[in-house]
Amino acid sequence: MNCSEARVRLAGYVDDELSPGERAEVDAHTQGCADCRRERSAQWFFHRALPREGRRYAAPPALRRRIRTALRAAGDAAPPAPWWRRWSVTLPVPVLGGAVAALVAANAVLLAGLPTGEERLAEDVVAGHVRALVGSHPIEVASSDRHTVKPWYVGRLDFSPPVTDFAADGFPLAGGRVDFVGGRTVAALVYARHEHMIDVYAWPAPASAREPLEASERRGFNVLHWTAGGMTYWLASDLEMAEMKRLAALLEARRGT
Amino acid sequence: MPHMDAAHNLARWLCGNSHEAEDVTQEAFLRAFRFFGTFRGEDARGWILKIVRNTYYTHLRRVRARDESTEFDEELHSIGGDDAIPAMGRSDTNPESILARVDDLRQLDRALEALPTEFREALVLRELEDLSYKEIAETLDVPIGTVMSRLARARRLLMASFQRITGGNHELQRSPSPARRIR
Repeated sequence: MNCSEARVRLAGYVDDELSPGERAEVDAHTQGCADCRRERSAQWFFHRALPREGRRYAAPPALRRRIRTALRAAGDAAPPAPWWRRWSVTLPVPVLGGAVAALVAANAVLLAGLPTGEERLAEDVVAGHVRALVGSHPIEVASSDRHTVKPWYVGRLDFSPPVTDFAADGFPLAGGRVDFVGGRTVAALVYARHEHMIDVYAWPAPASAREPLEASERRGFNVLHWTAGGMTYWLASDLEMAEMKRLAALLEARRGT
Repeated sequence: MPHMDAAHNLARWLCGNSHEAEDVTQEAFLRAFRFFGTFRGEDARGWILKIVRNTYYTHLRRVRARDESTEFDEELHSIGGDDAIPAMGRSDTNPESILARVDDLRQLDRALEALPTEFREALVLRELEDLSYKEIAETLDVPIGTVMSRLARARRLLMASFQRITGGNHELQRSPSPARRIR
């Protein structure tokens, strides 16, 4: 063992992360090498001093309260919905006991006095997106092929949603599911963008209805909404708004063809 | 909320100030909440620490408020790659005698603060959070061997900064280099 190998292993030596064989090799080397013995002393010193003297910044009580409140608010975004019964969602190991509890509580309690109109739709859209992220079935039909996804909706919806893969433009279609927004079943098409997931909710609108593109933020997610060509669209994602607008533009351009 | 202290401690050491650290911690827990569908049963503490770290780097990119590369000491940076761990200088290299001259161990915190992020986070996870190499490797998403070489180098960099504090070793101060001084 040469000095540069030994010096890396000296960390493992003081941290007790070496096998007995490696330990013996390091011992054999340091016996004949004063530089590496000094190095070992330095490694020892900081390994002993840091846990004792180094500062560990505990979370301040105000921050704990703030986070608990924020998580509860995020949990409220998930209203009591049929997905509970439809999907056998297995909540993961209680990583975040509080978060899970908040979610369960939000689902158990009927939210009274919901806002109306657009507000409520936006709430539903974000709630659906959160459910999809949290649950185990964000995608019920996983395919980038519109000829697979589109037929899947037949019999599940009373309309035919627009389905296009935009992989060539950097927004591959990941699949789709049926979701529940504004008291009706709607199509939720799932697009991927890097490691982000974008939900595109769509359902029919009167042919003459026009609503301009409207961007908003809700519960930490970006929301885009517009109505055109007999279809109402809602997009929800944690993707940057500029990127979401690109997808919106692609969806609109597709409609024109 | 489990692991909130660990999450905040890492965020605080990454951010360098409590304001950003609190924002990053909160954001990380919200992200964890949104994405805990991705949790696959590894160690929960490592998982939340990983999210803290990702949140920090996202935050860093977003605000572009700081540029690590201009902030810390170039000398520390120029010592070489992860594996290149040169011998300490020759004049006074006895750790005990150098450390004996460090009159205030609070300088430890300052020295740790001044380390490049990759070394600082490895030390924080190892020495303050008491994570094993395997847990650190998972949190930082690097091989275990890299964890070992980073820790070796991190402690060596601390030693170098103590040597400078005590003025014990001028050979470690690389600029201006002797060659340049002759010219």
